Amino acid sequence: MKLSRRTFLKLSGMTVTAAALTGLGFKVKSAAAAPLRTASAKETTTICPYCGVGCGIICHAEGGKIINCEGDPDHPINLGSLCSKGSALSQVANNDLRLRRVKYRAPGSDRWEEKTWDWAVSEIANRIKKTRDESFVTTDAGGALVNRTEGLACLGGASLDNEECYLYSKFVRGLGVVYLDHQARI
Amino acid sequence: MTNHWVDLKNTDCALIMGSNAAENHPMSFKWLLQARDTRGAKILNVDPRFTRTSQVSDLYAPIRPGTDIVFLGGMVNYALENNLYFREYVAEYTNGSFIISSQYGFSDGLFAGYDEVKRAYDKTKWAYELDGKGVPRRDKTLSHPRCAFQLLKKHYERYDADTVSRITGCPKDKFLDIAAAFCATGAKNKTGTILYAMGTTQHTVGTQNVRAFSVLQMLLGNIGRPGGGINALRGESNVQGSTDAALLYHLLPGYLAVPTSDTPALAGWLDKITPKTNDADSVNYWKNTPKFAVSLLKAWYGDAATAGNEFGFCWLPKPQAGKNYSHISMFEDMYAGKLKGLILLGQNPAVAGPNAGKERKALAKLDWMVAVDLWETDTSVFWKAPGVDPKDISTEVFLLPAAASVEKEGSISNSGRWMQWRYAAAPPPGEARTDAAVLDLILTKLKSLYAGSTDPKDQGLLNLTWNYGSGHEPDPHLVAKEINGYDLSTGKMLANFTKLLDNGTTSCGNWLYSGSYTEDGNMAARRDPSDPSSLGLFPKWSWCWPVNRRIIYNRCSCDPSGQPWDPDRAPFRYDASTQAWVSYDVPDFVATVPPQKSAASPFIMRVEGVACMFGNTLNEGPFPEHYEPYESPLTNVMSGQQINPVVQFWGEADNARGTPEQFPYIATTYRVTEHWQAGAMTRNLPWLAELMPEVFVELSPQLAQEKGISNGDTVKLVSARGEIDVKACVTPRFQPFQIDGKTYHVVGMPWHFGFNGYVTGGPSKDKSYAANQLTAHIGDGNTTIPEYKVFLCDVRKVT
Amino acid sequence: MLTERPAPREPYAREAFGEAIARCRRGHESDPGLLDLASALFGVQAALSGDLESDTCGDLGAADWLQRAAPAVAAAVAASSPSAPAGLRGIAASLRQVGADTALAAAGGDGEALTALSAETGVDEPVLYFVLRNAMQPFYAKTYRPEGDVSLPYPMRQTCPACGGRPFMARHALPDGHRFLCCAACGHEWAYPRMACPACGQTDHKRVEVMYLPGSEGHRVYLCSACGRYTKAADERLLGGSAYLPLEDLVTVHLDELARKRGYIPVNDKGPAPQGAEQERFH
Repeated sequence: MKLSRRTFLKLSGMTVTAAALTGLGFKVKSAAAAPLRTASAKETTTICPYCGVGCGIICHAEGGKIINCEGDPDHPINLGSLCSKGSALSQVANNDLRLRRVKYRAPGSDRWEEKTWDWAVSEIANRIKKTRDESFVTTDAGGALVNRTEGLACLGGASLDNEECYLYSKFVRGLGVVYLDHQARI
Repeated sequence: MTNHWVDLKNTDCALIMGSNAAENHPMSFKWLLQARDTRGAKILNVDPRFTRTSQVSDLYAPIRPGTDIVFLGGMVNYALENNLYFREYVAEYTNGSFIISSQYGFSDGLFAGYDEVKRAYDKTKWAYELDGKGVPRRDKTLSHPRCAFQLLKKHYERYDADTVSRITGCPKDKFLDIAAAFCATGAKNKTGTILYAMGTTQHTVGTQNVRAFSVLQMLLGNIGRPGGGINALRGESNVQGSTDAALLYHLLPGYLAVPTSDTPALAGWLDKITPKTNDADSVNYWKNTPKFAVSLLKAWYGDAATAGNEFGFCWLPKPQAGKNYSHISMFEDMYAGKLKGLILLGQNPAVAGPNAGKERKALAKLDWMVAVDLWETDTSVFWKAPGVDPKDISTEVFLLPAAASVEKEGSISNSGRWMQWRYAAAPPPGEARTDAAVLDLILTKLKSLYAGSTDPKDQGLLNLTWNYGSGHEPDPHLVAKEINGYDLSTGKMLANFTKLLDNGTTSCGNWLYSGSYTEDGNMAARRDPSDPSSLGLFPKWSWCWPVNRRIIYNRCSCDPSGQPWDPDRAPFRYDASTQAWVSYDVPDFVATVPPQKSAASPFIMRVEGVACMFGNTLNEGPFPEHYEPYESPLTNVMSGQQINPVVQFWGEADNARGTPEQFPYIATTYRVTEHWQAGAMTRNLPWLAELMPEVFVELSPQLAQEKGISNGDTVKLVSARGEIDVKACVTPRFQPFQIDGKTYHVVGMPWHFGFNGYVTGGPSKDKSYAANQLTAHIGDGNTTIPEYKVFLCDVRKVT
Repeated sequence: MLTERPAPREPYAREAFGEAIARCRRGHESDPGLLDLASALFGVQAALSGDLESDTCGDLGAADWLQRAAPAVAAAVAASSPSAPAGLRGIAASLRQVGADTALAAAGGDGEALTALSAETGVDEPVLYFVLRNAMQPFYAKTYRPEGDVSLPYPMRQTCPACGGRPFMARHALPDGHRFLCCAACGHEWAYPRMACPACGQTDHKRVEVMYLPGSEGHRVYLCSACGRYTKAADERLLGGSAYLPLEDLVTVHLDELARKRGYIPVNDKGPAPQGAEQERFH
């Protein structure tokens, strides 16, 4: 067979197939005739956030909203299949029950109040500082330098990214916390 | 996992025990079924209940909850009695040949060195007998009466098939079928894999349950081989990564033992935790601990960490030596009012914690709580839980909205140690932010609050490095690079952990992950799906630790001369003509020395250089021994020790121990495919909630008939800690156990449900459907993992 | 649940075509006449393929095959088209007139050869190319068999492992969306990574956009800003059954147009050499 390296049939304005169909008298669905509404999506790869298999998932997002999640057929472990949880992943992203605002519950209150991030970060940092300072133990009874805070505890997070786990691990030690645990132990 | 998911296709026999893999790790069966189809592999399942896994297995054996060591000990005995063990592997690659000190002994359930008061052992009684050079004496003929192999034999002689059947309640023939099928993998060219999960670990003897797997696999020569290994099926998408990052009180990233009040100085700490050996043949890779540790300190404290100040070591908080700060302990201390503040990044102990009722009471003692989550979890609204009057609870609660996995970029590590990069598909909703941003915001604020402080206690915080780009959203690539590590003299990323030094010229956030993000790029983001060996190794898909080694302990895939035990599944082969290895995986041995030399140290992370069938570092003893669960209707017939002799007890308040007289039935908890862990990620999704909206308790037709319970009836399940109203699901999946002439019933329920969310598990808004209200504050003797899997209960019909 | 990857589909798979054409007829989106054309084309190609299988063609060379097959295809096309050019009736003679080399070159898309043949027949070049390409395809399908395991998407191949041709479209197969590319010349399929550009092989998903008509997500077009090419794809899961790519190609020419308007050129447009593409095997 000779696939010519000279000039491949070139047309401007439409594909060869479309031109052929037109030449045969067909009316091809054309965007010019009646403007077609199109949608445009991005596909990204992710790894399922549920169990520890780590199946590959492809998410389709349109205009910043995830519209579908499907198994990633290229992924060597799941080859495109997903269990019921992974298949439902888009409902994690699109869900009215997702928290969207900072909430605060005052002592004795029976309800949430919405707050701003700035307020919450400031309040939280001040409480951490207070608890840390008040419960800090520099040396133990035997005189050993221990530099720990005994009033603060940290839990989480097996569903965090590695980079976040690392930051948390660093953050917790940076504060001097010793009560640290998470799902791995329970 | 020592191996990984796709490797399951290479097995000749899979033992699924302590796991319902078909239900909770469905993808495992893609590969197990392939093993069955292509190589006739057998799938074996041992479980108190006939599960979805049992249904697709070739053999199923029932077992009374909490008697795994009996069953496994019986398999060890079977392998030894029937000569099915892999003798050469045991002699060469395990410490079966090591001669043990004459001080070692075992009698009536206790090993030598037990202190009844301290409830602890003097482990020096289990030491190896050393030669003049301080190297353990060995007898590779495995015949010395005090060699570990002979001691193993003697120990498990007591676990004969009749005893196994008697204690576990498993019919003898079913036990023998499983034993025969799995122990057949002791043949040189056969491999067997063990898949396990919380059914194995969540016991007071959980660690020893896993040890029993290890002993069996060492005996059968299944470790370090395709289709073999000890494979933990981890339950969360990144619990592997979070464990590696040491979100655990007793470790630092990379499994470095945390410095305690006993080691307040760097040199002393390094000396204590760095294993030493006089055996010139043992690679003892942990001897590099100082390099890992100092590099970690440099990553955390940057320029402020110098040789002059012990690299900032003094700033690390030191837990009090001997004190337990684990989950149970944390909640006990919280209950006692000792803890003021709690931060939770995506965790829901109000549902998932043992003795959840006590833990919710503990939360009420806090001054404040910060919960960062995607959902309003049960924990975040503990102050308005059923039965609680918010006016009585003064805890302030901050609930911060978090981004989901598909709304941020970063990596997670699966059970097979594969670190996989993933991308944001859409921005988080509303004002939700990533957990990384939350930490950044809070830490930045804290640093400003402490700015200018000269108080020594604040220097660690002020000197903590935190440079991840501009704004408050840390760049995950910068974090990943810090974890990988840098050569501080050149500023370039390190190629891997072999480049780490202990003189402060290298930094590395987690030595295990060194090599994941190098000057060649982000290895975790690789997507080349080629598989040159056809063993399913996929060496260029993502990156796994350590150094992309897919099957660890892989020297054991070949004999001491370097020839594969099974040429058909050979990740390595030594070519004598070129004096080089043909390798499809990253060698877990020194490939540049003669094979006989690397064969002497196939387990480079053990100070012995070989695998330890005699495990003299664990708290209960060097061999797994059966003890009854904390709550059991039966007396231990193996010995006079009723329960694990080293288990720590916790406060009796709201944590009573049930007796068989009050609570005659054995209860267990488990998971279903449709839901996940503490439920927020699934009970709030309409599709999944529709599939399974309600909790149920499974009980046998026999028990149902005894109590006059019909399918669908609401019953009360009661334990010494709490009670729960739940629908009865009468099913032959549970069968009563006949033991010593009496009948013992087992019931079980999924534990995903609670009291908050789109569905809670039942019809009433005034009730909590959390199974963990029934479990106790009691945990394993080494790790304190709670004993969720077996406790006592009563089942009462609700009239 | 698949324990293995799906296999590529053979050319002229009757069941797949049947499912696909039934779906298109139910959908009422396309001109029924176009579907009749597709049906006629399938029929004649399947028959020709059958002739090759049954060995009634002996050892025909390519040029002889073209001489035999082109009139059959031309007749089928003409019978199903609203206004087929008259010159198609004399295609056999015209091919003899221009000579074997030119005829084959025209079938391969060579511009000069097509011009010559167009002058001879009075038929427009695109129509000629359409007929000749479809006439040659069964021959190439039989003559060239894929080398290696083409159900594996690696090593990544931008050109056909059977004949070295380029793909014209992708199929995302039931049940799990595994991607297959289909060769424009011989019709064989081969597996290809789902998340790599079929034209240039680049894997940065940030550089790829997917376009489709809402309500018709089963047909979509992937636009790669790295190489400037677009690839249409038919997703069997969204279509609810088998996709037959030559048919899907015919009923989605509007997607080609939309992509072209965005400045993209077809996946099989040789143009400037795409990054990472393998060399063609034939000269």
